[in-house]
Amino acid sequence: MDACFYDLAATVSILFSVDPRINEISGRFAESDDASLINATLSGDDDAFTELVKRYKHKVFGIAVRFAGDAHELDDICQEVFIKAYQNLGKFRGDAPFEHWISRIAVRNCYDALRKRKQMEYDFSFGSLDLPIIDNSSQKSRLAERKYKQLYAALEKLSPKDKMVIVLLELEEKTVREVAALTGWSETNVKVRAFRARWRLRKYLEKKDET
Amino acid sequence: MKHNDDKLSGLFAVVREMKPDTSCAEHNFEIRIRERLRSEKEKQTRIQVQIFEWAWRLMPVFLALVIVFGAWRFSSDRNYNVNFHLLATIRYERTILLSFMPGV
Repeated sequence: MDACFYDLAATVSILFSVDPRINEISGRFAESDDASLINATLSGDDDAFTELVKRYKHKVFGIAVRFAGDAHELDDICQEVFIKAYQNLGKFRGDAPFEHWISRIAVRNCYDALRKRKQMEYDFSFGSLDLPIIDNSSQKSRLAERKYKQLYAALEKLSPKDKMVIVLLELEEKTVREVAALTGWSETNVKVRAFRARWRLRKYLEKKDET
Repeated sequence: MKHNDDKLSGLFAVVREMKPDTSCAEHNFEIRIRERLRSEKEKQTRIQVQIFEWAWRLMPVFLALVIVFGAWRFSSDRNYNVNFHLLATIRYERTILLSFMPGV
């Protein structure tokens, strides 16, 4: 349903509301690096920030999609990430690439979203996000989709911190050091948490197999 | 245990390959962010204007408070009568006492 809604929304926006300024902005800042875009944003040029959004939206969506329950939550998380980035751009010191900084904001926002969802005991509904385009007629892809749903159902049983560490380490294939940098936890904490989270996942899947 | 580890690793491998497609959600995202930023700024401006409006509306109250406070200070100052004669007497008596004690 959401997939259809987004297809429809995309089509409508293509027909009626494509802002020609976006292409104009891209042309204007094509040669600019991130540092000059940040400086331009800080001096009040919102077009420069639009270009930053355009450059890093795929990265942020890529992180958030592993944590979001549905398409609306995904959009909310990503919007929140860029709004926070805009509000705190003055605090960006530039000692690490902008990509790392925005990834850290994205991970922390995802963690907040997971906690909020856990508090509200929100029922995670599969199929509300567009799965990769797969040929459902083939048995292999049906099996893959089943495994996808099985793992995400198991991940939903974990605490937000455990889910975070499993997604980043196992699905996004980040190193322990990268996860520590993204989450702000110590490397030892990440390792211990990953071990416990894997153990809990295994237990849950065993129990599921028995029933 | 080993079997379960393999199973879990297999699940991870399958899900790693299947990343949901976000291209639809990403479409025109910049426009949504621009609109959101604009509305956030408008909200900020609206709050500032409201604070100013309320301050302006409460101006008579502030003015009345200042007048009442000023009147009160003025009336209390008038009640406070300094008796210069008494003060001078006290000072004189203290001087005598201070002179007497060391035996001057």
